[in-house]
Amino acid sequence: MNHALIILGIGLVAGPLLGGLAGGLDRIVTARLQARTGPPVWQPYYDVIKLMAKELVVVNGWQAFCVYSYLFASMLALILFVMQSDLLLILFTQALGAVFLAMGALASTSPYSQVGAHRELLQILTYEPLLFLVGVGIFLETGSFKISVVMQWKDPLILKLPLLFAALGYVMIIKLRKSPFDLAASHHAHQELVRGVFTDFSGPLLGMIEIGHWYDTVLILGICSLFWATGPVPMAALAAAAYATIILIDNAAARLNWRWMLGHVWAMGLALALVNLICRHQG
Amino acid sequence: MRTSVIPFGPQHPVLPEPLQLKLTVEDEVITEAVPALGYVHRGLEALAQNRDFHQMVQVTERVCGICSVLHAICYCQGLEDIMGITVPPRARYLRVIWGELLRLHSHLLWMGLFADSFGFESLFMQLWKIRERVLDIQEATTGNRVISGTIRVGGVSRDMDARQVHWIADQLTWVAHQVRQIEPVLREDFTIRRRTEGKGVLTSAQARELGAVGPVLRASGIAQDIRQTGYAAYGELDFEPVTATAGDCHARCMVRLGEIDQSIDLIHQALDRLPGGDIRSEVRGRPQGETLMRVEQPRGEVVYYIRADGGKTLSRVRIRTPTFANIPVLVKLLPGIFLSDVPVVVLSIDPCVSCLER
Repeated sequence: MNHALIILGIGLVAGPLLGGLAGGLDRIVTARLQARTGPPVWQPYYDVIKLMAKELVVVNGWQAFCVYSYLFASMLALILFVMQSDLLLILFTQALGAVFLAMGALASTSPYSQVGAHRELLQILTYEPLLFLVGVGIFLETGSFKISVVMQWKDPLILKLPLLFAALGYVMIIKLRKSPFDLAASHHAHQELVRGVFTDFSGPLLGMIEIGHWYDTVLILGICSLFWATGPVPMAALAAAAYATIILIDNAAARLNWRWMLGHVWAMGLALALVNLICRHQG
Repeated sequence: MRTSVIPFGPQHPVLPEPLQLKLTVEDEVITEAVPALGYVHRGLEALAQNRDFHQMVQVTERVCGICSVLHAICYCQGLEDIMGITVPPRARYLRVIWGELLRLHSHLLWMGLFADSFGFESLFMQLWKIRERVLDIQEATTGNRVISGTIRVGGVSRDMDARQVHWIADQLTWVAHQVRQIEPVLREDFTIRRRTEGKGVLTSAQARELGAVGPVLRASGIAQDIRQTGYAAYGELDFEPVTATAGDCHARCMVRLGEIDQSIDLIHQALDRLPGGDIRSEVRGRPQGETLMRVEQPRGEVVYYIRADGGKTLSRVRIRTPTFANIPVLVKLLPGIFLSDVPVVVLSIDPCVSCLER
């Protein structure tokens, strides 16, 4: 009982702690790549604290419900991951949270919010098949969807599933809202949709969404680290390397449109994943 | 199919100037774009009727901060034409140097904003970092970073010594080197080409019909540049208009990129050939008559109509700015494109609402 509670606590704390820290480091690295100094590493926490202190203003009750649901689903997905639960259950839980976020944006009549929500749904449609194939690939190698089994696997999965890992890269770019796929909402508001899916959220609700994004960040980096789950150090190193690569891509690419994203990610991502799976299956 | 109206402005982060485009959208495809102007109209033209014609130089400089020198040059050339004043050669060359420095920083500013419009933030930052050096040159030679305040009726108010001339040449060599490093990204990067090639295509026939000006016109293959008329010292310098043929957003970017090199070259030429002598002719009497003067701004041709009745003030100043000329082009280009391409196409004409709302 105590062990389960400790893991639950780790899951709850890991999201804000590691996610916020990753966000802070991202902002510093991005700033250096752009010949700027950047904010302090704790800036994401300052931002969220300030948002939490603001007055709660909601367009309608449904919007608030969707934000609470999104945050809860994101937290639950990470807790399940830390508890080394079923990968499929984790993937569906995080997908549920992502859909709630889009539904919250659709609850507003703002055209920026509406179009942003549609793009968010298209992004989900784009990466979910790839994420599912990642789960299938892990299952085919380890014989189980259980993360506890994957963690005991002796060989790094990336050596057997390199193309699937590359396909996961597309998912990470989309989930972390990085160029060229920061279509539904970019980190700053300099796009045609202003802040896209987040446009009509403000104050504490926006703060909760940011915390939810931290949980999502840690979860997706955690899934990435499963590809070298031979110990905590290689897991952390792989996640850090993948995150750094995505920051680099973000700073070296323009934002593309959703038609290109859907066509390219499905064509390239699915091809990479399927080729890898077929090769392993036949081997 | 669902139709919705999306307000693009007057307050929008992509275009931080008060221009509104009411975009009718069907499944993220623009079906109609209606511009709304006049949010910050300042009535600067009317000031001509109660300000001394010398004071109006400062007013015209403030029509737009980014084009300030060229507004002042156009206005002063108009008055010099009416009053029959011959500007000293050194002043004409100094006007070219400051005019081209302005074009340089304006194009770098635009390119940064253009990169930002398609989400390439690091490129935006790098371009603005280069622009800072150009502003440093302006500050060192005029005392101001943006609005120089050096143009006067009959010449200019500040001179440059030999040390400054060498320093400017060195600084511009650095700017040229930095731009050359970024050029391959703008020219060949896959994501940039994907976002700009084939977007907002304006044929040469459409450009003529709609009265396009500046880089928008030249990117459609029409080699028209008012500097070719030889005003200031341009008639004594070697240059050809930079053109492209594709007529799309990428072509407009390439024209401006070429004009950055051209401006640096023109400044080097002007510094090398800078004649000695006075920097300002004496202005006697009061203007009487009318004139139409044209100057090539970074955004295209600006036209000043000036009428004077022999008094201390002018009876009419009318300014046709390049952004005003390019608005019909924008309205033509927007229908049929995707919503995600709107910032790219809008930025491609380099709209300056400050000029527009004079």
